[in-house]
Amino acid sequence: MSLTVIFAGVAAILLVSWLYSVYVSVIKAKNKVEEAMASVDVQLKKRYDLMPNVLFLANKFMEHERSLIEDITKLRTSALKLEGGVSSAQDKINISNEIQKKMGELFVSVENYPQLKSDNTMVQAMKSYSDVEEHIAAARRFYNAAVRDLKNVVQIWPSSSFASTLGIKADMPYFEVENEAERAPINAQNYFN
Amino acid sequence: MALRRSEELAAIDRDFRQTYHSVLLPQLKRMEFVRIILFFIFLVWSLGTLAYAGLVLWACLNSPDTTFLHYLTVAVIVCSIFVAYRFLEFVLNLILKKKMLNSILLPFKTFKANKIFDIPSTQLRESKIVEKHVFKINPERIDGVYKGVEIKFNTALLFDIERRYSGGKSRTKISNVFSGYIVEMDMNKQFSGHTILESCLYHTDESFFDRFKDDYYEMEEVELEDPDFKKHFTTIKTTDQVEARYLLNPAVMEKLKELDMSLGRLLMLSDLRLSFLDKKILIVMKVRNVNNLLRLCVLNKPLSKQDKEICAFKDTLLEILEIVDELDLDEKIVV
Repeated sequence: MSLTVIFAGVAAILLVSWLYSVYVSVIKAKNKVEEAMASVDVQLKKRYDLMPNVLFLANKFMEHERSLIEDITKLRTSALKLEGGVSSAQDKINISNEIQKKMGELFVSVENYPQLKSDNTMVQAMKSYSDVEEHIAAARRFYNAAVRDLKNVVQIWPSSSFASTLGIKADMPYFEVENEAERAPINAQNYFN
Repeated sequence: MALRRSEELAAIDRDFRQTYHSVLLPQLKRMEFVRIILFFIFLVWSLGTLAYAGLVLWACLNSPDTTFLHYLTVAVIVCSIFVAYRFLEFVLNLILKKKMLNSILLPFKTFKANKIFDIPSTQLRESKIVEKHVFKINPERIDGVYKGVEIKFNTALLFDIERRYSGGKSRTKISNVFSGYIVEMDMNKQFSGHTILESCLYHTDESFFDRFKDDYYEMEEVELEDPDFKKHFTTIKTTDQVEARYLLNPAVMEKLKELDMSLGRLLMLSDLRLSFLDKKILIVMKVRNVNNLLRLCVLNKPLSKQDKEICAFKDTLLEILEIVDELDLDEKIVV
């Protein structure tokens, strides 16, 4: 076997290995986004499971916030109807932001109801809610990092060629909160000083 | 950037000053005779050694058969003076710590020197932030509760035994792979994953094939948004990406950066590592050299004038407790 054939063979193996590693990185990036979205779904589910407790107590005490409570209930119902996974990402983000905003308003209103504010069950529910919100914020950051990685893979050559061949797109949106005040997770303790 | 000290820690600091004058100083005066005896032993040893070294040197200079080996022997004899000094100082520190550690810990209230407990080697291995070792020495073992957080504090010297085969013979080499502080904090919250942070990568000394055996490499890298944080902690790995980000939120990242700077400066650290696993946070602080570990005194100075050394001991403990404040461990994680 001549030296040229050996050299060509080694070069071919190296090329195939490199192409395979690029392929793997594209698939990994795509799967990472799906994994991250699943994590967001898990955390959002936790939030939606906790909301009835808070809303039930709020409904009992808060007479002037009935419409707000109704809005939150409707939003929760529509959120639960959404499919899991990346396909409904934009809708999830919109509804999640809306729920976060409304729940923030609700917690501010709790200030006006001293009896509710000092209710042990409410305090516990709000603490748990605050904890879940922090987990949601963490899951969002994971999702955003995964989307950013996928966007890089899809837009930068040579992985971009693989991505277009495999039909992988990075059109999923980032999980962004609408304004600066909403960026911080709700901390129940702020309302119980 | 200095960390702000909480009210509780400031109170401990104040109490310590009182305790120093009312309890520690009389104890130090009583212990002074031990230091004098050890210092006398050192003086006798060093004078005898110097005299012997002088004789050997004189013989070397006057002998035509003198080789480099003879001069090397003289150098070794002289060096033994420094070794003797270090050894006797170490002995004095051991005696003082045995007699006085609990008195020093009085202002720390629940904290006591505890000879029974130990952070097990299996736990250290599971944390994946401690060097591979065969045996360890823990000169100080202190535990207590601060703001509801149970803290175990160890100074640790870890050793590994390496066996090498060459020319049909096996050689055993014992090496000190770690010296520093290991702190375990018990939490009331169970972590589902395992997250580790390291301010420098020490795994590089492992062989290429070790990477495939060690499940450390099964942990995923966490890409955080703060590039400055990455400068402080070069390795951030986890088995649960969401939990890692839950633990390392922007506020905690800021605090960890401050902690890295503050501990690095005060405790002469070369490396700060953290592991969040099960219900425990393990903090490993590697010091630049063994001499930076907790010391109560030096041999050549009266004990009653060594407040600086004892205060440094107290400051180290305060720094450890400050971690609880800085990371809000009592409030944020303990639900």
